[in-house]
Amino acid sequence: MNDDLLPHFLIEGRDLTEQAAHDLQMLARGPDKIALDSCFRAIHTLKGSAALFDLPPMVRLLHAAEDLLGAMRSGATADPAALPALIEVVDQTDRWLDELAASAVLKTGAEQVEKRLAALMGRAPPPEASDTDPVTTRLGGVAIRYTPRADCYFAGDDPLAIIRAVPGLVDLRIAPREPFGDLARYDPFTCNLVMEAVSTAERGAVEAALRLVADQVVLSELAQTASVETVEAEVRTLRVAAERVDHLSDLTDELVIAKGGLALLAAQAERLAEGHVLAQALRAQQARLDRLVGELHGTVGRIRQAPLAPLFNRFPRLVREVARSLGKTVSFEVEGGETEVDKAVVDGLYEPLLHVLRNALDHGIETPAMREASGKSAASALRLSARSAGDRVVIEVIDDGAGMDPRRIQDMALARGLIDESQAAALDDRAALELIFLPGFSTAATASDLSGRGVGMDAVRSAVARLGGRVEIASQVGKGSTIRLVLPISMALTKIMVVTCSGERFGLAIEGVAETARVAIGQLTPVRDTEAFVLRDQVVPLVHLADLVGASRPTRPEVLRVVVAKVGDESVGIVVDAVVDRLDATIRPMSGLLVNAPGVNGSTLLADGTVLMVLDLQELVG
Amino acid sequence: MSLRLDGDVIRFEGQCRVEDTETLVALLHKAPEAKLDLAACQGMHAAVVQAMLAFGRPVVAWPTEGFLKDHLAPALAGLRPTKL
Amino acid sequence: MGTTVLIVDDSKLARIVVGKAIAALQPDWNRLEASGADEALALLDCQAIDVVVLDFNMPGRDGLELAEELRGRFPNMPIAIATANVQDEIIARAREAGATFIPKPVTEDGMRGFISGAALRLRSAAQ
Repeated sequence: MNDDLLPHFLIEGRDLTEQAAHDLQMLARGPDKIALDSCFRAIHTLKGSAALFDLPPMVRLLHAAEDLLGAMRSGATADPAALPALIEVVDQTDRWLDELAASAVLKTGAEQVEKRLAALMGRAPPPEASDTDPVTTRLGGVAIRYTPRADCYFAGDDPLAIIRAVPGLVDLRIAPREPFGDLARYDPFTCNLVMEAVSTAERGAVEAALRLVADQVVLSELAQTASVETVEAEVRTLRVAAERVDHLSDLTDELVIAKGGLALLAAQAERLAEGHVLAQALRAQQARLDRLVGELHGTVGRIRQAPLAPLFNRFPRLVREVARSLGKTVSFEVEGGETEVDKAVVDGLYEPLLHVLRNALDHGIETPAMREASGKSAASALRLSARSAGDRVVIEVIDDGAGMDPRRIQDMALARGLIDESQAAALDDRAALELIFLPGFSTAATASDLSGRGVGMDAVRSAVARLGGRVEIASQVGKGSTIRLVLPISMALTKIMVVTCSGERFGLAIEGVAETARVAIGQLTPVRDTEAFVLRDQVVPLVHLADLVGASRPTRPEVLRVVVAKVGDESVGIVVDAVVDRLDATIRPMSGLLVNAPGVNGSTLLADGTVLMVLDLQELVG
Repeated sequence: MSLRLDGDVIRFEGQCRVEDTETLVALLHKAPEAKLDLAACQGMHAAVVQAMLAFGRPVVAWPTEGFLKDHLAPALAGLRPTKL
Repeated sequence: MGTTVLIVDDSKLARIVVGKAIAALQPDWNRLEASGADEALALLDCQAIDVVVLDFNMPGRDGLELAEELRGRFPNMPIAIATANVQDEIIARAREAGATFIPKPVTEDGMRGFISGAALRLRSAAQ
């Protein structure tokens, strides 16, 4: 039985009945091929989903409705009574969903309701023989959930071809893994799909077809005889103290690291006499553990996600109060509160957002009199919005106030000694706007009681950076300003290369590493105040990690171990003592004293319990 | 060429491969009202399907090829415009 | 700059088959051949190579060991292993090394996914 699927069915079922009802309304106004197709798909999906549970009356009724819609699509029928009957079917389905939500079973008498509505549609209940219809009534088989890796297109996988190769495929569903977000920035080559299917074949055959992507697939057997009663307990939601989820999440992160130890053991076993078999067994075990830990990490990550609404809902009252104290009239709009992000992000955003909103009210938005004088409406519009874009959430505070004048900001920064004349001359408008992020900057011509609190946009920027995000700014004089916070939705796993330098270990994100090389001392050539070596006709300058992290260089070995990194378009060789490991880890933002340490991305915990600092190559070398 | 814009319809023809995804996305941006005609499509890479899901454009004709007809059309039943 | 693919297989015939499939899919790519792991490593030392296709069954170091070694040096290089026989343990190791499987005998169709993906990856790395 698909215990864990019922909650999904209830959510998806609501969407589908709503869609079908909407489509039928459109159809009631006149022929509409798009609405008819959409309605057919919605009913087809509802039927397919209902077939996963023990709900014969619902499946049969939806099947009849699908048949009727199919006949309408092919032009075989245009019965004017069809639409009202279909609307009743959809409403009844919605009521059945209520019943399932309440008690996990359909009330008695469902068969009578089914027969009445089937008759209304001019369709006799389908004969018993149709119970053999594999899609609608098959209850045995294997349910497949295939979540292709985000980079699978690059690896050459075509998830559709892979699922197509599964024998006995009867019901395929394709959906986005995460909301697509801003389509203007749609990334065509990052896989964002989840495929769910049912196969009537033996589990072994399904596994064989999916073995190359076994780490991305979850299979569950569908029992031949289903008992709906067992579902009941699964429908409830559970409220759990946040600390426990945090603890669970910490443990999962540690598990990710601990599992990395197996690779080490396998390598050690390999070196033993006769150790090959043991090493193989360890690797196989590791692959299994990899898959399970990856799944666990994903699941815990989703538990940790919370909607922004409770945070956003705190602001309207605060905005009203601040606006009143400043004598300004503001219409404040909030949208996108349903967007879900990691709870750490939600928790860390209150202060920064409050500050940005205060800034907008204090410095951006003009008094009603000033607004009217410049031909604007007396009431200003201030908007706080959120939307997801891929694996990021974009939160914007937009006002229609006075905007920021880059030249004026530049003058003020000069006056405050934050920059000098030559620096000022080099700034374009965008760079000038960025000056507001310098510590100790305030653009208010008159200090109000809201400024001078010792919190500037610099604090906003570092708070957002701690959460793994960035702050962007756009402004037009006289039109208003937009402050945009772009943050990760979840704390994802990053591939890290572990290197040593002066007896300490450091992490480098593999993304920035082009290759590793050994360079003999004799191959080095001096270039200005540093050294370089030639890698396939290209001169690559060398830097020593020891210098970058402020350690002393070890005695010079005969052969240098070099990590070649791409920084912008340039290759740079970073001399390390050794490359010791690779691992998947959750990078945590730095906290405490090291919050603003330059060149440090964050930290992660190693298998032996020590903290590994993960370096930001771009910042260190660039 | 497996994708082309024909008036306000984007036509899929033959095999639509992973390389065609960029063309499709460019066409979807270029013609925000365009609908999709898959009638002559013989095969589709998952990346192409994903773009269809993301942009949620109405499909005016589904493929006749076996797998696409039997499985893809119903599989995309949730195909609706993305809510922002 | 052009893309260079290195084909490593101890069978000359197999290298021709793989080379033909790649030529059909990416006519502009330079193709280099090596008959074993050592020759491949020597080529990698003196030439820029973007993509590698390895035979699994080779005398001496097999394709998987070579893939693991190459991954150590080139964290982002597209690597494929061509094989007729895929055991679960090998799949797990290949995945760990970030290599793609290509079924043997190699055909244009069997090669297409990997080559397309590799082209996309190289292009997005260049951007």
